[in-house]
Amino acid sequence: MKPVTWKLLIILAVLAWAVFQAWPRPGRPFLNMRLGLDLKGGSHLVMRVLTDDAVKAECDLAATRIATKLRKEGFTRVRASVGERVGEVIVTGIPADRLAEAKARLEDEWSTWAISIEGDRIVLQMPQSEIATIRDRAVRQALNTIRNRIDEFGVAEPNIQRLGGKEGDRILVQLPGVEDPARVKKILQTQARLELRLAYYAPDGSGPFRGLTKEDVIAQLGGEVPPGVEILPYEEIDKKTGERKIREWMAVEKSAIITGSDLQDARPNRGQWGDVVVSFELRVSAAERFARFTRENIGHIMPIVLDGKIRSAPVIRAEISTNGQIEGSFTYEEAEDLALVLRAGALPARVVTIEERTVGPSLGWDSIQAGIRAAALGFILVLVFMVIYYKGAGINAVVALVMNLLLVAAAMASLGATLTLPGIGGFILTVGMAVDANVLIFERIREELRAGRTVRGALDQGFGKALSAIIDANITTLIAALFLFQYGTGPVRGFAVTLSIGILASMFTAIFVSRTIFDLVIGDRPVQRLSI
Amino acid sequence: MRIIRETNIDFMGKRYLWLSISAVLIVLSFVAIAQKGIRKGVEFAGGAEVIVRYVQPPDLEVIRKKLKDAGFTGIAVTTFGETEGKEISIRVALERKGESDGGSGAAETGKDLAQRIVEALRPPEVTRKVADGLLDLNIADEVTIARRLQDDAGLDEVAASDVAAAITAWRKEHQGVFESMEQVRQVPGVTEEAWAWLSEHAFLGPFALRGQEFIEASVSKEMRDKAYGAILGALGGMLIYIWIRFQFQYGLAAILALVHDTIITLGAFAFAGMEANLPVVAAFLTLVGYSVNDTIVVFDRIRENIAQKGEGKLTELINLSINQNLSRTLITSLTTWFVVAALLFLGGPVIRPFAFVLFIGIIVGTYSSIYIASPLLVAWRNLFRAKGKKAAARA
Repeated sequence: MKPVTWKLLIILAVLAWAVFQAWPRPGRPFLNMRLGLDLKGGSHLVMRVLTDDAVKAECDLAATRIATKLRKEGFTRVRASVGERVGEVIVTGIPADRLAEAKARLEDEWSTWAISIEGDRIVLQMPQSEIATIRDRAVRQALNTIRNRIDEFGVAEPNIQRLGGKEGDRILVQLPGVEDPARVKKILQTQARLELRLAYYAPDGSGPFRGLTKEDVIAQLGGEVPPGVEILPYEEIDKKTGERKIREWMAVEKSAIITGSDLQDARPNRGQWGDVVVSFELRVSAAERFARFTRENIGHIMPIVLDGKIRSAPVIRAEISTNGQIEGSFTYEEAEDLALVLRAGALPARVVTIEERTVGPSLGWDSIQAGIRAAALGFILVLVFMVIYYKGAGINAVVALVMNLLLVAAAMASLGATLTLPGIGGFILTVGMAVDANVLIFERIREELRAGRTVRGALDQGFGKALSAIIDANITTLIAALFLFQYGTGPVRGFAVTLSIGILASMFTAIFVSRTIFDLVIGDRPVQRLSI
Repeated sequence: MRIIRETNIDFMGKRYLWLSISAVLIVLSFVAIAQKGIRKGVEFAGGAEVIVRYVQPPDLEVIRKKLKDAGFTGIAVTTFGETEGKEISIRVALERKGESDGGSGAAETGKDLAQRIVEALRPPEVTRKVADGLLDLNIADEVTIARRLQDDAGLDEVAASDVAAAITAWRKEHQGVFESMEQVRQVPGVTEEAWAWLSEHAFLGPFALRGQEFIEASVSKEMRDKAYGAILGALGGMLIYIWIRFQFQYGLAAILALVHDTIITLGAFAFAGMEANLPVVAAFLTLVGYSVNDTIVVFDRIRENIAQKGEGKLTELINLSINQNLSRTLITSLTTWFVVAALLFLGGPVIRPFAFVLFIGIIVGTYSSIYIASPLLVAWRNLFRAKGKKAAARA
């Protein structure tokens, strides 16, 4: 076979591949490309995990263990609490003459921590490497939980990923077709740390301790909160105004009997009096523990604590094993959402939204319409210009351009790249730039023809000499696209991808495809004139 | 057909004139930037933006007053796109709240911001209707419509979601708003049964919510920094590439031309009062890539001519190279300019600032690759020749 036949076969093969890739599929009518949220409509959220929370929780545990240990060692009045700085535990209540001894005791078990005596206190600092590990774990857990919650909520083709690698504390959530981001954000941001705890009863059996203010409760406790106990607000929602307000404060044991991870299932339900409740079911492993606990504590109050606030405070009337419910004046939607987050698991730290972009379906639709109209007009203008200006060779360029567009669409479809509104801009800009390579070659050919070369000689020289300019010029554009890709998120990335693919495709079409077309048209005939 | 015959224009002869013109343009650009400032979109300024489509063109003053009464700050209300004033963009500042207040903080502020704006804008009679349980068909989303049809109108689940889907699909293709209940009745897919309920229990509010954006201050600062970083990085990348492929002075000349293009385009951008958003940064980076592209093609020719004819008369060689490339430069600029113009005039309001940057940038970039980059090459050569002579004189 002649070389030109081979070339033709290669082009046809590429063409077949491109048509196959870009053929519209169900749900992807636009040249089989995935549409970005700015065209399809949907929500783009960036959430930050407040990883300090997780470090603090870890320090809280350490503080409890430290206090317990020192008390066992005979430091009866010792207290340990989380300090101001991240990863800090402060121990107080040690007699001045025994500080060094206490420090030595702690050094055995907390050998990796930096322990120092500052005045009458011992300060323990968690090592940075451990803090980093805790943060990383918190973000990974949050990512997992968010994924679960989105799955439960039911969004088609969500994109959920962590930003910024191992150090990153941000999570990107892209939800196509979500019109009401307020509800989704609420679902994603609820920490959903559910705990069933026991109200605090003093050793003499008195209690519970509850009052209208925190200070009131502390006073009832004799001016000091016993170790392992905290005072939590009991929140209620005013049925008329829908506002949350604190009904009272109550002293509650810090340790939980049952946590969210013990739940088998949670569902919204109608309670005894027709009010909305969330009923839950425990795993078998937890059920036994719970049964024993409730049997031993009949008559006591068992507050249900959600994210550090008491949601209801039922009295244990009988042994309970697997089923329970959370009351507390919900709307049905709120109960549905709470059940969802309980099923999907708790977040290890609070999560806040720092960036949100929601494009309604109608705005996206308008953008597509406008983008396509502009692209079509621009494309037609270029084609008409090329044919008028370069006649026969112009038709060649048109073929190359159409193929270029098809290749861009096919490459984007097969890479799973997303077409965004700036991406449509990139698409159409590609047309303007792809034609550049053709123009460079054609002008060079004209020049060589003027210089008196034969048609074939002018073609060879034109393609040969234009090559270095084409490559240099395109590589600089690729450099710009690379920085663009680094910089951008979402829509801008889409633009960078489209532009890069367009440039690469244009080198193929302008150099290889156009040349082959010339060769095919001219063939072996001795041609005197070239339509250019 | 040919627009440009073989030319022999003396581009280099008047180079001081062109360099002066550019200097004046750059000064004017700085004045425009300093005077008018570059308007920043939400991405770069931080805050919240809501795009609302009204059935009838609203009075912007009234909207501003309502928002102010509702306690919003940093309010900016403008019309958006060619929509006869029906579509407006509402910008408000985010309220400052620490992250310490129990997980609400910034998140809480953004969470129901759009809803709060909607509530603030609603006329009292609409608020009353909503409170009475009537359904606003210009605001309600698909899920809500389906639920109401199922729970209150007694449609079965499939029928309810079909009707809701039909209603939202119609809105999607009609800028999000119904103008009359008759239009609702005409929507294909709205059944007699559904209409019976809707005509009694639904109404049309004066506007629809088209989109919303919310950017925390820390994020917008980061985006600004990254935008500058990306543009500077791209310029640096170009310098290095051209340096490697050509010589240092070529790279430097090309970069100075690029900086020139960027400043003048930015000046025009500020002068036109366009608003910078993320795609605008993309446009500037593209401009950098495009403009250098033009310059390189000329440099490539200069290099080729030097290889053939020696470096003797650089000024004449450059003139020759520019003349040889002139038609190509103009034609590619023209074709790219066509498509950008199409985007500018037809592409819609979101893409307009993007297209504007390229629309101006292509003109400036084409001009600079002819009149700026190449004279700078000569200037560089002269500088070193002068130094060389001085050094020789001293010795």
